[in-house]
Amino acid sequence: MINIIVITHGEFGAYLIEAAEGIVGAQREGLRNISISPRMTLEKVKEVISAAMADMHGADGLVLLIDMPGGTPMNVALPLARDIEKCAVICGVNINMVTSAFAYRQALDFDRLVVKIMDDGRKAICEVKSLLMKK
Amino acid sequence: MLILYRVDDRLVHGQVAEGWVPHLKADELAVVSDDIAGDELRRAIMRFATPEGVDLKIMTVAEAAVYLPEAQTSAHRVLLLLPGLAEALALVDKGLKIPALNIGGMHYSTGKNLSIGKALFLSDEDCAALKTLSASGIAIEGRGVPSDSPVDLMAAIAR
Repeated sequence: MINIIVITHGEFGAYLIEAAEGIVGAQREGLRNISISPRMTLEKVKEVISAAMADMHGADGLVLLIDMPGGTPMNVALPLARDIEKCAVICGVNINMVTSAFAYRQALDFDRLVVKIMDDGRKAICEVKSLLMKK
Repeated sequence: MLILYRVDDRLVHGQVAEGWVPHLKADELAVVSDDIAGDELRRAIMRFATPEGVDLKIMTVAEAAVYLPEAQTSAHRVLLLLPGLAEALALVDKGLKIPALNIGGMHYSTGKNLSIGKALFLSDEDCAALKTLSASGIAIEGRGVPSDSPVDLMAAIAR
């Protein structure tokens, strides 16, 4: 099974996980949440993310789901992920990406899961009134 | 074949699209509802909520009574979605053989005063319907998503 770490500014990720688990079921293993608090020093952030990545990296792969491209979670995680095989750093996390990751991380291999998460995340962004309602 | 018979008043939603469909490798969703079959916007919304690569069929109870026995022996992996117990009773009345019925979502409305778990709220009428279905030989389980532990609903309403 592919492991997942959600890393966000504040408690956004914790609530995303709670909502996604309500939809696809509780994740008993292979999942970690890291909430970056403004009270943490950059050193502390590095330490927490690095420890989680060391802990969670396995043979099937590791997917980091991060909120903002260019934010602290990404800036810290990216250099740490550089030399790890089968480790994806995916930004712009939304709930469809999390449910997709939970639902398919056992069935799909690493490369396919990464594509699936990004596809489902992109597809979630839409203006449904113009899409579904006839004028 | 019919791989799951499910009662869920939200029909096609996240628990089904992201939970049951990949878990059971369903390639078709069959929704049985006279209301939705006649409502263009709700049909469009439901099609939108259906995962890519999965067929969606929306039919009336009368159409389902003809279609579902065919689906039981087809090569498709069909997940049946019923909005309530009334549709299950109607299909059984019309001769459909249901081996097991998953009760996934029956949300609260007035009179549904017996709550079981997070998403099951039953009225006296619902309990009577479940007893009728169970007595006809259908195994009844309460379960929202595949990874939840099934709840023995008949024991829960026996009290």
